[in-house]
Amino acid sequence: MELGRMAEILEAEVICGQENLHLDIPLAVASDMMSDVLVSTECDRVLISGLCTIHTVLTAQILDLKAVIFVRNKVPTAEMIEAARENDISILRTGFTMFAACGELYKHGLRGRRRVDEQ
Amino acid sequence: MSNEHGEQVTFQETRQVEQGDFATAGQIAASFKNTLKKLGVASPVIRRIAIASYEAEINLAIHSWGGTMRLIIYPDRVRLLVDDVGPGIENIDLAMQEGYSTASEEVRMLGFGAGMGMPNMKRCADAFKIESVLGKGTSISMDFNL
Ligand SMILES: Nc1ncnc2c1ncn2[C@@H]1O[C@H](COP(=O)(O)OP(=O)(O)OP(=O)(O)O)[C@@H](O)[C@H]1O
Ligand SMILES: [Mg+2]
Repeated sequence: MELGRMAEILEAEVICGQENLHLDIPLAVASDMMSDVLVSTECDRVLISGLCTIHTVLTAQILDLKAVIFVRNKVPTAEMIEAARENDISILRTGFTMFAACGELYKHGLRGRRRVDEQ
Repeated sequence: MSNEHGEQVTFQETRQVEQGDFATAGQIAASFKNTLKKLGVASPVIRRIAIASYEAEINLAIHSWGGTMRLIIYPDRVRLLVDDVGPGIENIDLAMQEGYSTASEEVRMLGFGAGMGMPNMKRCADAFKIESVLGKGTSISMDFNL
């Protein structure tokens, strides 16, 4: 799904990385625990998180992810935005809850890993 | 450059992690990643090294009293050596289990402490060795084939 379409569905504000909106990102991962996100090396994922710290952006950077969506209206800090800009990572922000954000994106066809034991 | 066995070393760097330095933990992993990228290492390998470095760096900051991360690049592999002074690990088998964590509530609020770091380091590396002495510290050696 195009990142711009995700932004539309989630009525999200694009905080930085407008240039990535046309990117097609086929998969998603959603977690507030960064070491759960770091378990997979797949880079074609969007990271959806309620954890809004520099470590969310760092995790995206380490995994070569192109976008992070913060749920529950979390506001990223200037430091986070700068780190995201330097690494071509888009930051989106939505008022949706984690459950609703994932549910809406799934309903519109976005998928992620289904089970931990599947590759 | 060459190591004690006379093996050719392409690049080598040692960095220090201070105890409790959680806010900046990850900077070393990010800089190792940049180094590997500049040297033209393939992205999937870089990602595995970066993930293992990040998890190791966080562990040094939250579980140890401070330590070092050393990146050694050989023509055929990358070695990551993580050494700390600290409480050590009483039961390594337990620490290697997914979900086992003694991390504080504070660390958990910051998105770590799922008990996934060590098993993930092992999964990312092609060879993984860990030694720990209670009350002294922990050493981890990881190899990644190029
Ligand atoms: N360098 C270390 N010194 C002392 N104890 C450690 C060290 N590294 C890990 N441990 C112990 O092993 C446990 C498991 O480590 P692991 O990295 O798998 O999980 P975690 O750090 O608790 O959480 P996560 O890695 O998911 O953020 C830790 O909770 C801690 O008790
Ligand atoms: Mg850990």
